[in-house]
Amino acid sequence: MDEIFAMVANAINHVTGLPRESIRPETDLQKLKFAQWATLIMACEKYYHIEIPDEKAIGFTCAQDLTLCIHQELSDGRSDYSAPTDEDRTDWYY
Amino acid sequence: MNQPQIPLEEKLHLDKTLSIVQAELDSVRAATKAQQQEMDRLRSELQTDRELANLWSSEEFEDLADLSQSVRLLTMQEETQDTAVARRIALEYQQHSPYFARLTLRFPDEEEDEPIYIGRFSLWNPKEKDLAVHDWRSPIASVFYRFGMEPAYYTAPLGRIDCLVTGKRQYEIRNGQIVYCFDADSVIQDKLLRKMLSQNASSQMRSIVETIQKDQDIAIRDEEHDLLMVQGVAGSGKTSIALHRVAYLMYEGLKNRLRSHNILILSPNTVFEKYISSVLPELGQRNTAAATLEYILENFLHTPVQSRVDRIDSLCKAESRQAEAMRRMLDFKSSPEFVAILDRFLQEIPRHFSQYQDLWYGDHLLATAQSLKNEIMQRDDKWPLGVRLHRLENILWEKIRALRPERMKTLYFRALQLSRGPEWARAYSLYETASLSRQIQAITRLSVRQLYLSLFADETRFLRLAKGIPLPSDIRSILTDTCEALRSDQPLPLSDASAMAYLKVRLEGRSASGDIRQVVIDEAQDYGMADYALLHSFYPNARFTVLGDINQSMERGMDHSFFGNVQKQLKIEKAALIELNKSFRCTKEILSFSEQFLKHAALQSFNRSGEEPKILPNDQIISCIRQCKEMGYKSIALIAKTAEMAEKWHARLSLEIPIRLMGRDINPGDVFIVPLALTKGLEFDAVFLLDCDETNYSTEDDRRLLYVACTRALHFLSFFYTSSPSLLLKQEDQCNG
Repeated sequence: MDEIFAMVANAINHVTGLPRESIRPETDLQKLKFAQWATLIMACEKYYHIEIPDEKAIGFTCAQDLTLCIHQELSDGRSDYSAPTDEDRTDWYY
Repeated sequence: MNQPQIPLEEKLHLDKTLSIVQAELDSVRAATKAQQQEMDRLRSELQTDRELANLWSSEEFEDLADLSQSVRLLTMQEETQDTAVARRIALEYQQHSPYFARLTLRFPDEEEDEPIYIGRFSLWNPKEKDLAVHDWRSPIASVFYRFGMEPAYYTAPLGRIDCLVTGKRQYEIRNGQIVYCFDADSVIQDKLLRKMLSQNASSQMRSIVETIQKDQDIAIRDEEHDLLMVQGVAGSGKTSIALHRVAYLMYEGLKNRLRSHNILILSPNTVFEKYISSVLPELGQRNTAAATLEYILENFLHTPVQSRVDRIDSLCKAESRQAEAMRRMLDFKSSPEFVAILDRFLQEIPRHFSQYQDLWYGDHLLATAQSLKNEIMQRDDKWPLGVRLHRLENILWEKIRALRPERMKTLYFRALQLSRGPEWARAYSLYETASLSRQIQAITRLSVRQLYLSLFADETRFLRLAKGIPLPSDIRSILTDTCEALRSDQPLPLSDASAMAYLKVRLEGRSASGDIRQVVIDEAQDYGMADYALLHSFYPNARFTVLGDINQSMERGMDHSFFGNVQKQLKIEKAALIELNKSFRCTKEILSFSEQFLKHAALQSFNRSGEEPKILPNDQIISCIRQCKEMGYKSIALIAKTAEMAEKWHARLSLEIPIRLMGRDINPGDVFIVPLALTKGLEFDAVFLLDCDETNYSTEDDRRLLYVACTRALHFLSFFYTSSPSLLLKQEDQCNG
């Protein structure tokens, strides 16, 4: 879970410009614009090879919600995602 | 009381019993110690496991499984330890006082009498393989409470057992010594009861197992009825009955698995809750939930709710016309008629209050407004509306999910046409879903507060719903005032909170707790019919014990129809009403004085004498307090009509004597000032009723307040006034200082 959160925090940092170290599980996501929201969701989907349903995505209020949703998708086996390689870690986005 | 010589055989029997207690206590202590060591070991293991396990990592599943196993073992050990500790506490009590009575019974076809010792807890004699002491709740102990020296019977698991009572003896045993014992030949053990009643009040209520009266015992042991109602005058022991009944039901519950978490005690306020909090632990029963209705409502509605104490206090301090209006509103919202209007409103909600509209997902019509309405209206009515709406929402999202891949294709194509990236399509999809979600929720999610407000905001609809139902003459101002209260940022008025919770539970079909199987309601007269309708919906499988006094309602006048209406709202057929007219709390002088405040007086006094109540000017308060202290009274309550008046008196008197103001959470000490609203169910050695001028106490409602205040006094009652005493206090045989 902590690894997922680290990835989510990186994605939020990339999309919003918020300092990485200031991002916590309770960081509010509701102020994001739709474009930012979409970018964030797509980044996570791409990284984890999952599809986050829109109706779930629009309900996220904080970083923790997104983290839990990804965890749920992975736990439910709806992904062929495997543990990240070093390459993934350096080149995780685009 | 004269101390008769203690017979030698009694001393010997006590020694023998105490030796059994000691042996078992040693064994329980040893077992408890071993269990404690095992628990310490498990806790230490758990700590190590917890340190090893990385709880944020899903890969550490085995660590989590180990941790869960250790927690389960520890929980089981803790439960066993709890039982052992309860037994140890019981035995420690028995070391001081193993029993309080002995019955001598002759059973048919037997030639010898059999002695039966009765105590707060049972005690097993392993050598004789028999009970050395019977629990007061055991069937055989009921003979002690119900019969004199006469043929008797009790109902055992095998059926009715007949016997002849050939002897009854009562004991006071303290610190393992018999203080006195005497033979009692009647059902009511007057001698002991008088001694108990003449004691001073304490800050915590005590158990009364030694002095339970026949009528009280019948109420305590009733298992036949699903709804037991007790109408008891002030001081008749209603609260004691409630608590001893809980202890009894849990004892009997061993056979039907009724545990402490299956029982809920509803109490009028938190002071009262604390006052009674030691009785059940004294009787060996712990962990029974006690709560106020407002606490339950706050948790259910997630909004602050006005407390009952605040409601009574605002009624007491309102000027008479305003108080009248408040009472009329309260009367209406406490009536069965209001519940009937709420029920009609519930029928109307599916038709008129969901915002049905056509739902589109892209260019695909998901459902028309009419089809949505039909879906809700045509579904089987036995499901609550909330469940039906939830189901509809799921169906709609399933449809949307099925259409999404096609929709995304369209959006990606459009993004391409607009020379935008795929994130544009995804953003569009999220925007579209968010908007659709709002439309769906406008149909499927109901705000109970908005619904309830709409009931009062639309006068025409309200009057239509109330067709054929008698309404108060000032219904229009009730509607306006309710809307105002609901729109304000003040805590939700208690009666509205109950009504809203009733709507919510009926709409959503959710009960507060499925575990509650016995609800005990003390001060039942303070609850309105919407409260009872709500309690039925909250705890549909529960049995109820409802105890109250229609003369002690501080908020509104009521009559005997109250109990019939309670039964209707709780929808319970097997019900019984027991009336208790004998008051044990007050002296006969105080009771006789209090009787003047009742319209339909039927008070019987336990014949205990004391001083006549006094009506005195304010300047005698301090000397009177000193006099009471000299007389050894431990709790001297100065009762003010409102919280504001209590504060003023406190500021004034604290300059002259040590005196405290009783708040909701304060243990006040020996002399204290308390607002009337907080005195519900409490008792004090001496009661000083402050500001008893005509200006403060003059109406019929004030008459009821005076009755409640007076009947809090055990031994001493005085009324104090500034200029002229209230005319309600005028009585021919009164004693004026």
